[in-house]
Amino acid sequence: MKLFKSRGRMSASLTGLLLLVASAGAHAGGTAPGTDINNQATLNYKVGPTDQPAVTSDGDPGTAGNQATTFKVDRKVDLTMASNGGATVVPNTDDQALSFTLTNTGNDTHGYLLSTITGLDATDDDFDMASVRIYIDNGIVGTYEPGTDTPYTGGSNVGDLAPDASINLLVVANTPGTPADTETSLYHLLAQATNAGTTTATAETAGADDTSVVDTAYAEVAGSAGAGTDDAQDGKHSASGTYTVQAATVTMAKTSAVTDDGFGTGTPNAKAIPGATVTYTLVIENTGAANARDLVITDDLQVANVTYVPGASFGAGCTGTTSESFSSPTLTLNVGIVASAATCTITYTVTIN
Amino acid sequence: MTITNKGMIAAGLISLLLLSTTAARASQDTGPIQLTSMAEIESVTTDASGKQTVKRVPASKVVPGKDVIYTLVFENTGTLPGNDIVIQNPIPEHTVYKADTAGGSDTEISYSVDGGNSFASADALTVSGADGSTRQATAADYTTIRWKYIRPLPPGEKSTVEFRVVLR
Repeated sequence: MKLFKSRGRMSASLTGLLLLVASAGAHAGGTAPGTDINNQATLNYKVGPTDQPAVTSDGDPGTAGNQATTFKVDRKVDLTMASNGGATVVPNTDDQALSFTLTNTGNDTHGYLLSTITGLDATDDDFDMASVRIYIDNGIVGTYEPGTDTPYTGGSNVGDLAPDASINLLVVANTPGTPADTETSLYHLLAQATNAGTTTATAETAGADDTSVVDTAYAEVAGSAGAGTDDAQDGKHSASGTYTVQAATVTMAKTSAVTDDGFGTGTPNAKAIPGATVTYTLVIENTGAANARDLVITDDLQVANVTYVPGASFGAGCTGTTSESFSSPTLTLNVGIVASAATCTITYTVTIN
Repeated sequence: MTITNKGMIAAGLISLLLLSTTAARASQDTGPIQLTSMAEIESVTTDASGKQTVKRVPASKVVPGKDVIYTLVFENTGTLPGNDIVIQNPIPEHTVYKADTAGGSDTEISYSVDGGNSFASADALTVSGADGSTRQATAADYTTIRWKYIRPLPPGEKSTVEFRVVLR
């Protein structure tokens, strides 16, 4: 029984350790590789009414004495790439960012190689961005800040991550002028675990396990890049983000009406006689998802027959700075903004010579 | 604790134990009842037809989140029957007991949440929260498992108990 009692005290101290581990529960990556997991049971019994010495379990009968049953915790390679959402982009704009976060969900420190994979046109998306590159997102998360965010060099280790540590990343690209409103462009960002401090991909231990050394096992799930590129348990993980184009689609219609014949008769009975006033109406409609900016409308007037009356009228849908200028025979109208889904109506008048 | 090499299969362990019985008697650690502990994992293999076979292999490639199965074999190598056999096994450090996995024929199983000072059946165990409230204990609270073997163990006979843990 003496031995049993000492075993009891050992259990109590073991419990204290367990509680410590539990309270440090942020360590989601798990027990560190190389940690010995020991197990030893105790058996008490009697022969007839007589207590017998307590028996401790033996995990290794080939070695003298009763050894604990021991194995070493192996290295779990697990990583999680997550997209923080897509981006809306306007055609012909540079440095548009997709935000990602890479987290080391394994139990050991690793470096990582990064690469982007273009979505397949017509399957995943509609068009490709230009000048696609990767940055380490040092500043405001999800926002590309030149000079603050660090460019990633292909084939390099982006930096070692301890278990549970994460790093914010950006895919930055330029939007070409060609895509139409609502068209999309998809990019996968793929990370591959490397041995800490190196660019050598971490290899899984092949063959039978040796319980006395630390082996390496892949544990992550398949990512967005798809079979053959990012399978489950290949030491890689990927996620995808999508650029969605918001373009302005502007249409314009022009109508005219004689609004005053010079003798007090208005539309619709006024006739286009010399001295009559003719009103032109331009209806500019933006059916796209983005605001149209800095619109310039020109109209070459038939100055031999009509005279421009200064003072064009810009309707409520014409926002930003509006202005007009007339340099015979060209009337130029400027509108700062026609917002998405807005209609800008402009009227101006001429008199018939 | 000494680091041990468990590079042998389960059946081999038992036969080796039987072979080593005579020698083991000379050791002062070994009494008439011998107790061995094995750590194993389940290995799933898929054959050409897609049929999956689960077999137990010595604990290998054990990474956080993996199940480990502990099997305790107790054998009476003496000449007299043993009775009132009680086995206690503290849940190994860095592992969490997996609910309802402790087993063993002819045993009464109870658990401790206080490092083995007191034991009760799973549904009778409670723990106190930080605010002083009491709740039913869960498998993660268990610190020790106890098996009471309700029969005597005659000379030459052996029996087993087992349990599972998940590596943190």
